[in-house]
Amino acid sequence: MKIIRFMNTELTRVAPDTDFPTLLATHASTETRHTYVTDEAGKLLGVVANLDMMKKLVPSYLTAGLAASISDGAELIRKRFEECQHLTAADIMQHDLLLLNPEDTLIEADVRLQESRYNALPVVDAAGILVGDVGRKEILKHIAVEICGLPATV
Amino acid sequence: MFWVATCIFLVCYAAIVSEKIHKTKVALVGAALTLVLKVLTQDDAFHSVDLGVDWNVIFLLISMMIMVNIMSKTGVFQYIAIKAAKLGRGNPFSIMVIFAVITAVASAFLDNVTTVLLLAPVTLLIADELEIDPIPFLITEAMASNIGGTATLIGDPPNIMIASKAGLNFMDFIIHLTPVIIIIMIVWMLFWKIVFGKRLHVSEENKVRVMAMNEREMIKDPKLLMKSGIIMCLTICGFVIHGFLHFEPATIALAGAATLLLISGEDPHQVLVEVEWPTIFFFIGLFIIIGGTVKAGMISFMSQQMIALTAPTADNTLVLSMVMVWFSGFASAIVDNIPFVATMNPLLVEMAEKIFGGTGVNALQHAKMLPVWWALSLGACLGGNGTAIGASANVIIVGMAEKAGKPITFLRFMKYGIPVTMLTLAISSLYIYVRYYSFG
Repeated sequence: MKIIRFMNTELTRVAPDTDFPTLLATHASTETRHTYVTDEAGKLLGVVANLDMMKKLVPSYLTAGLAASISDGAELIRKRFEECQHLTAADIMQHDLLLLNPEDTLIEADVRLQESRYNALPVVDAAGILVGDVGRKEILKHIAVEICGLPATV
Repeated sequence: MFWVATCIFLVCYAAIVSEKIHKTKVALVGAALTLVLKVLTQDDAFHSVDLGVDWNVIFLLISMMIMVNIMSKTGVFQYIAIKAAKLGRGNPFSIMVIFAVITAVASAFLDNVTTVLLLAPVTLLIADELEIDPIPFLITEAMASNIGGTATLIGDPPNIMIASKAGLNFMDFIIHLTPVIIIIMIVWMLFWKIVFGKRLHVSEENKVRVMAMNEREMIKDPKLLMKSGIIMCLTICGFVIHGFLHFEPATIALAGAATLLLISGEDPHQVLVEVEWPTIFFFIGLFIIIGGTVKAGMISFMSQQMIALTAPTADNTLVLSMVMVWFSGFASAIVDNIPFVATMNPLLVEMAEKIFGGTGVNALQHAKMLPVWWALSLGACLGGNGTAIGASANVIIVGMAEKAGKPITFLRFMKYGIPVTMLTLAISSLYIYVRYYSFG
């Protein structure tokens, strides 16, 4: 089973010079897990995950105990947001990516996702053009319906 | 064999200083070469008290790491830090002093890296809440951990190594080094008052935010806190009386670590995986390399040169002590103080035997030899404050600050580190002169 058959093609793409507030607003207003940073030709340059945005907005030194010790962290987050204003998508994106090919199989994508810490992996063609992504949800859905023969809705 | 051992020693030392290859790899390759080239036999390396691995140091380090790993899970250090910041009423200089004292006291009993790893996040949060630059606070804590660690036998690895080599006990360090460390802390904080007293200002609104912090949230496991607190206290009591009980410090630490591991309910895999094994194997490799140089006669040759340079006699070791404070201090600001002390230890043993005659405790703990050991300890531990790479705690603080978006440049660290190092080494020299040579 090739992943090209079930990969998600409705992706959120931004240019590398997208500013931090726009990037945050994009993450907040879309259901997608990742924002893909592409050039004008659609070539994948990097990925910004929800976690990458959260890490920028919350101090890295905080532990769960320390976070609980402060009465309201809103001021800390607001301060971080102000400090991040000058950042662009290119500054935040992850460059070291694990990529899938449209011809990869479902089981290959499944194992790659399990071995990685990502929720979804981008799918690029031979020219490096982003064509879709495959997440845990898509794989489970495909296994349930197409392989195990379970109903699509319960 | 002299030149083989000397070459292995010099090449390894250069590789460790260059930091191009991880120091543990260098030490283990050097140790393997020492054995393969038959500078030392395996029996020498593993079983000889004079030439081989100092298992007292190794097991003391491992045991203390186990205890600290378990204790750090309780959140007690962060609890104390927040409580202390509130005691300082949110006043930045008061907080700086209180945190320096807490760090110094904690570092006297725990390893320095753990202490700064536990306190730095609290410091960064409080600085954020007060809207002030955290860097002076972080550098102060790194330096306080190096200073505090000098006060006791278990506070810093060089002291553990010196104690084991010279046969000194926990109370020797308390009697001879703790007083000078208290003096250093007081003078340093007065100096810091001049430097920072008028520069740190925060609004009342920000002070209120610190006062509103809830330290109780930091205690994650009160039962574990109780158990580890009791075992830690008993272990420290054991250190205090280990001389009377005729136990080595490693025996006391191992008993404490084993008991805490047993009653804490912690998974031994998880606790042991957090032991700093690279540091432990660095020590093992280093002991074998240095053992090779002792057996081959290199250390004996160096001791003759040192005797010629400092002209110590059985009645007067003042020049040797002063050279030891300052030379160790400058060397430790540039290179890791562990290989430095590992080299100086057998050198001083050779010198003591030549100056005072005889072997063992009679020579090593001769009244005129003791100040030399204290000088080595003070120089090696306090010298680490000089630069950002002078001590492990400094490296950790610089790394944490960078991760938090507040990078500390090498020069900025030196701007604080060099004056403090000079001040503390000067106080140490004065203390040694007055206590051991003027009145001693």
